[in-house]
This record gives sequence, C-alpha cells and structure tokens, in this order.
Amino acid sequence: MYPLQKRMIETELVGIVGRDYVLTDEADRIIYGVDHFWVPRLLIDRGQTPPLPDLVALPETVEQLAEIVRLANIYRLPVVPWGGGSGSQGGILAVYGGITVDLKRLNRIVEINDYSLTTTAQAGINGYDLENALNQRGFTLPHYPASVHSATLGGYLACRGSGTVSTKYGKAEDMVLAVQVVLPNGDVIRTLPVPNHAAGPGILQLFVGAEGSYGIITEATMRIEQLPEERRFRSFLFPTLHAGLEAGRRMMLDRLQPLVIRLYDEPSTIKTVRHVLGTEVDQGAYMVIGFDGWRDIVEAQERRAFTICKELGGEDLGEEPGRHWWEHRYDFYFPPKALDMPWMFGTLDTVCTFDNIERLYLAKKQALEERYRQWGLFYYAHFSHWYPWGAMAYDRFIIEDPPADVDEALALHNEVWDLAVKVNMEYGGVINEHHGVGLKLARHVRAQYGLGFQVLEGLKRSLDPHNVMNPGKMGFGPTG
Amino acid sequence: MSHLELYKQELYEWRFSPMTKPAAEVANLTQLESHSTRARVMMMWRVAAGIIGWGAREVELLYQSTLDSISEAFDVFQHYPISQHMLAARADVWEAGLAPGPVKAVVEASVQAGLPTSPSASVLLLAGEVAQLGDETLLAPIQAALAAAGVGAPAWVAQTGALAYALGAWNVAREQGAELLAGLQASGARTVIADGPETGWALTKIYPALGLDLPEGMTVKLLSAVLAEHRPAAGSEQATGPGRVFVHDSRPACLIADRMANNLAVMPGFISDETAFGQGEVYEAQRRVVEALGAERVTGKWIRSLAKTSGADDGLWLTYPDLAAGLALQRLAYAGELGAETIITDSPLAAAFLSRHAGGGPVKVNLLAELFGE
Repeated sequence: MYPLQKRMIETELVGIVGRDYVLTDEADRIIYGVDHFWVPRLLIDRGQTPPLPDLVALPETVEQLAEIVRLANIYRLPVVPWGGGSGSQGGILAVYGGITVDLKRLNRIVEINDYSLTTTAQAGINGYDLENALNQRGFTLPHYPASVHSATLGGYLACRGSGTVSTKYGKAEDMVLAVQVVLPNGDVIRTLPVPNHAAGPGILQLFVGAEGSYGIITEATMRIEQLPEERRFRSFLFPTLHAGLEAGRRMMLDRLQPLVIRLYDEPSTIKTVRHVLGTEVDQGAYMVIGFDGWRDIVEAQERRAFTICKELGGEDLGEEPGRHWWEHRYDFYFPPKALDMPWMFGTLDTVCTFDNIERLYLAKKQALEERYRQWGLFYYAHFSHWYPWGAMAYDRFIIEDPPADVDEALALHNEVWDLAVKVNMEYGGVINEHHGVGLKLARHVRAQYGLGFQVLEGLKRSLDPHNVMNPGKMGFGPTG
Repeated sequence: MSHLELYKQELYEWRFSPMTKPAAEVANLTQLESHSTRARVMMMWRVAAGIIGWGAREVELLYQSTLDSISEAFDVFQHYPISQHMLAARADVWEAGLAPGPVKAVVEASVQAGLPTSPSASVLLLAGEVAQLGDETLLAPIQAALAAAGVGAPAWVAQTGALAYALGAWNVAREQGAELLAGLQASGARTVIADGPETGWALTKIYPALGLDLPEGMTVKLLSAVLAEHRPAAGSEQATGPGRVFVHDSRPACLIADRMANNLAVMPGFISDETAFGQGEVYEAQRRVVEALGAERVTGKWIRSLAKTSGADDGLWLTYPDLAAGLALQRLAYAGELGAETIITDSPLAAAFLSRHAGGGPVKVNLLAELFGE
C-alpha cells in the first residue's frame, strides 16, 4: 500500500473506530504477524519481519466492523480477523497486507440461559474469561483447548477447535447453535436459531471452520453444561498400542461416553510414565480415561470401561496419574516446556475411522522417520479425541537441529508437512482435525476436496467477489 | 552490556508465549495486542538481540504497563521474572535518556518532594505509600489503628524510592533510598512498620537490589501484620462487621510474598482453595483482620498474586493516568460482580486511587486501617 493511500485509509478507519483503535506503527503491528505457527516465529527468530497488516483496527461494535469490511471492498483491501493470536496454522497472517481487525473489543456475554443451557457471547471474548463467568453461575462451556487462556470464542469456531474433553462434549462445531456473521459485503446476518432442523441444508457450518473466508463471526450461541457432580480419572498401561486402541474403540462403540481417553504411543508412553509415575517402561501404551457427571452414572461407566481395559491386558495404575495429568495439563504450554525455537516442530493431527487409524499412524511414522532420518526427525503421538466411529491421532514431529538458513528451513518444514498430509489423505484421514487450515495447509485444500472444491470456490466467488476476506487461506487467492 | 541483555535467554524462551493473556492488565483494558505480555517480551527480546532499538512507540509500550508481576505469577510453571525484565528494560531506557516525558516529570517531582527529618523512636511507621500520594489524609486512620492496637509508632512520611525504581530511574532510587536509610539510622528505630506493600517492597527487596543495607538489627513489619497481631477476636464486641468484603492485594505484594500462584490457579474456573493464588503474610495478615472484624469475605480468580492492579501500582497512576483510571474502574467492577459491598486493602495507594474512582458507585473502598480503628 502506498504511504499516502495508507494515510487516507487510516483517516477513514479513525472515523469509524476512533484514533486510539487504529494502529499504524510497526511497534504495534508486529505482534499481529505472530501466532503459534512455526514460520512467523522462525522469521522473528532470524531477525526478519513476518507479513504484517498495513493497518490494524479494533471495532467496538458489529456495525463498526461491517463499515470496515465495506471500506475494504471499496479499496480492494484484505481484511484479516484476529482473536487471541493462538492459532497454530498462520490463519491470521496478513500475507497480502491490508487491514487486520482485532475483535477483542467485541467481548460481551450477551446471555447465559440457565433454562435451555446455552450462552450467547461476542466472538472476541477470551475463552478463559468466558469459562470463569460461566463457572461462577455453575456452568461450563466444556471446550478446554490448550489455548483456552489466549484463544477467543470466535477463534474456537473459526478453526473448528477441539478441547481435552471433546470425546464426551464434542468439538466447537458441535457446541454451536447459531452465529452472527458480518458477510464480505458488510451485511450482518444470523444463522437459523437452532442447528438441528429440516429447513434446508443450513448455513451455520459454512462459517464454522472457514477462518473468516466467508465472513467474520461476531457472536455465537453455544451449548453449555452444568458443572459435574463428579469428575474422575484412571490410568492403564496396555501391552501394545493396538490393545489400547482396541480398548478405546470398544468404549466408544459401547457408548460409555468417556470424558477423555488419552492413549499415548510407545515413545510418549516411555516419557510420560517416567515423568508421572517415576518408573521405567520400555514398551506399551499408557492411557488416561476420565468420566464426569452424576456420581452413580460415573461409577457405572467406570465399571464397564475398566472391564474392557482389563480384558485387553491393561494394567490398572490407579487414580493418581490421571488426576496429576488433569491438574497439570497446562504446564506443557508454558515456556520452556512448550515446543519452541530452535527446534522445528508441528502437530500433524488428523482423524479417520477406527479401521484406518492404526495403519495411518504406523504409515506416517514410518514415512517421516525414514525420509527425514538425516535430520533426526522424532515422531510421537497420542490419540485424544474419540468419536463413535473413529479417533484422532495427535501426532507431532520435532527436528531439533533444523537448517540455519531461513529458506532451507522453510523448504524442509513444508516438505515434512506435504508428506504428512499425503499419508493422512491416503489412509482415509483429513488434512487436519482441529487446528484448522490457515496459511500452513492452504495449498492442500484443493486436493482434500477434489472436485468438491468447486462448491467452496463457488460460494467464495458469490459471497466475496473481490476476495477481501482473509486472502491466501483455504485455497483461495489474493484480493483483486 | 545493557541491563536487559542479562535476561536475553529468558526473553528468548518467553517471547512467543501467549499463556498469560488473561492476566494482562492493560491489554485487557485497551485490547491492544501490543499491550500484551507476549508483545512486550518479544519487543524486549528484539531489543536485547540488537534487532531493533528503543523507538518512541516501543518506549511508550514499555511504560504503558505495571511491572507486570501478575504475568510472572500467572506463569505457574516457571514464574519467569517478568517484573525484572521490565525493570531492566526501563533502566536501560532511563539511562539512555529515552524515558517518556510523563515518566521524567514524575521522577523529577519525587526528587523535589525531598525528605523530612525522621522522628526519633524505637518503633517507626514509614509512610512511603502515603508520601507518594502527596496527601496525608490516610495517615490519620493508620495512626488511629496503631493506637487502637496499642502500638506507639510515630509516622515518617517519606518517599522510599520505589516509584523511581519502578520507572527505571535506579540512580534516583538509590539516592532516595540511601537518604531514607540514613534517616532511619538517625531515628534510632529498631522496628519499621511499612504503611503498605510497596513500602515493604522497597525496604526488603529494592534496597538490597540497589546495594543498600538496612541498619544492623532493624526489623521490617507490614502494618497489616501488626494489626493482625492485635486484631479483635472474631465475634467479640469490637467486631463491627463491614458486610460483604473483597480484599484487594496490590501488585508489590506479589513481589514480597512467599509463593506465587500454583498450577491449580490457572485452571478454568478454579476458586476453591485461595492459597493456590499465592501465599505469604502479606496476603494472610489483611485477611485475618478482615475476618476478625466479622466481614463476609467474597473472593474470585483475581486475588493474591493474581490480583489485577488498582491502577495505582508501579507509578502507572502518575505516568498514564487515563489507563490507570480505566484499570481502577475495572477493579471496582470486578468486586461488584463478585457481590462485594466494600473493597478493603492494606495499600494506601490502592485505597486512595480506588476511592477516587468509586464515586457514588455501589462498591465502597476502605483502607484496612480505617476499619480497624473504628
């Protein structure tokens, strides 16, 4: 953007949101080029600057946001939504510049409905703040992602996020009843009031997971739950990963509604058992299971689940290790525990049906470890979001000593991802389960959908003919 | 080597972490991402690594904050000394002559205030927070409370240097500290009662950091601890019962407490064990007094080491008063949401600043000593 044009648009933005809420200085804008994606961190680490928006605006009302979007259409400027900046896929990167709209001033709780157990809140509310407010009333939004301290409600939905208790309560897209959206032309719409209906195909799920490509979610009505009377955990050590996966499958097919099943592969088991139990094992698969709700029901669910685990050779390790995990589950995300530079790393999560999950895991592990042996690629996984039909592999790679050169490092990073995504799709998985697409996986969306991509593209062309909404993501090109 | 470069490795480890976002006080007021701890740490690392210099906006962002000890407390895994990073950065900026105008003006004003002669006494009340306020209104209830507790301690209203220290003017803080210590020496005091946590922080933490030693054998006590020792028995005739009370802890309290928050404190919704949010006499003493007075105490997530600022901490109320006012209003609103009728605090700075913004609102503000003396 030419400096003069930037000044003129800045003037218009100031007219919409006020002087204090338009940011132009690079000292303010640089943080809007960094989320939890490895690439912008790499650039900052090497003294470079990631792609930044030309301007940042913080609307206080939906009407202000709509005005900004209309402005962007006039000048053909990209509009990139920003929530908590905790995404891992680079979805917030303003790769073509433009205006980043920070939604955190849209942070009101509109309603807590204790009769229907729903809450309606604006998209910019911090997840932790929302949860605390609900807890004070005896409720919970049972979406506890690792990013709960920084992510926003809008961010939960933008990437179809998942939390630690999704096995029982579902992912963000399962909890949402309705959303309010600012469309790319500035119109403000609401989806149908309820998600289950026969009033046509519905449009709610077009916006959930679209990462701002079809419009910006500004408000959402979510299902909430009563705080449980009881919440219990138990740990088992299975002789093999196969046995653990089978135990998980049976619990899900028996509809035992576990709160959580966390099954660790062998490398993770060795490390976790040493850390949590202080004992050494050289094989096996460690599992934490949890149940919550009414005490008598939890007891019944536990009895059946434990029977399944024992039938499959699971050694009962008692309550304490699982409780320890629950109470320390955020420790891993604080520095210096959290994955960070100088390592190269990524979470390659995918989901598929039970008949494919073990094969997919083994194939990906083998492919990545063999191809990148010279880089010492370390691959490990756990299986932590379970469905009535399958499970998610939360797998990661780490290369402790990546190339020093930025271009070489980026090339290696993208190669690893390309291979991982290829295996995911070959074995009936998807390019991602709960982190979203962002910039990281944008190049794979067309292959993921095949001819079906024309549906996404047609909608995009119709809703956003100038491609102003978060360009460069979801397989869509630049603003023009 | 700059002060900040000493922390280069810690800044390197912390620079991308968004984990303390709920605790970020100013960022949660303005909603500017550049006010977040992550943004500030990343900025400080880039400066320490020589990637950028201290530009005008960078300096402003550095000062548009408390010392952010709340993020330090919220980092339950390691408690990286974020307040030390802030202090080091501000010292670099101050020494380079780059401090913003309001900061320079505040430091200069604190110097011009000078130091009165210290009274002679074996037990002395050091009213450092009252001195910073520039208004001795709260001195009377403090003295009344001490009298009610049977403690004779003449007051010395004197700037401790904590304000200059927090703003990075360590040379000024050292001079003020040395002068104050000379005054204490001359007073013959064996016990110094600090009027609030910031004064306690100056005596027990700042002076050692500046290479200043307390007079041999001198003991430092917090006023709240002294009052707690002499509190009325719960349910006694003295207990008046101030209704539903929210106890506010000032930010310097975090820096003189025994423990910061633990892993349970950052769990969504966790409120059952208050000690998870920080432990130490600086927290316990005022709670013991409040409970002895028959108050019904309400509590929430943002207490003890995770207590969000009243706006009056670390000089912010003087350097960026509009931001500080917003923070005060947020703190008052929070207490109201918890059902409190009154905020009680052991910090004269917090009490005065919150009172100033309480207006005719539903939540009253009292200094702890004000209740004790009633």
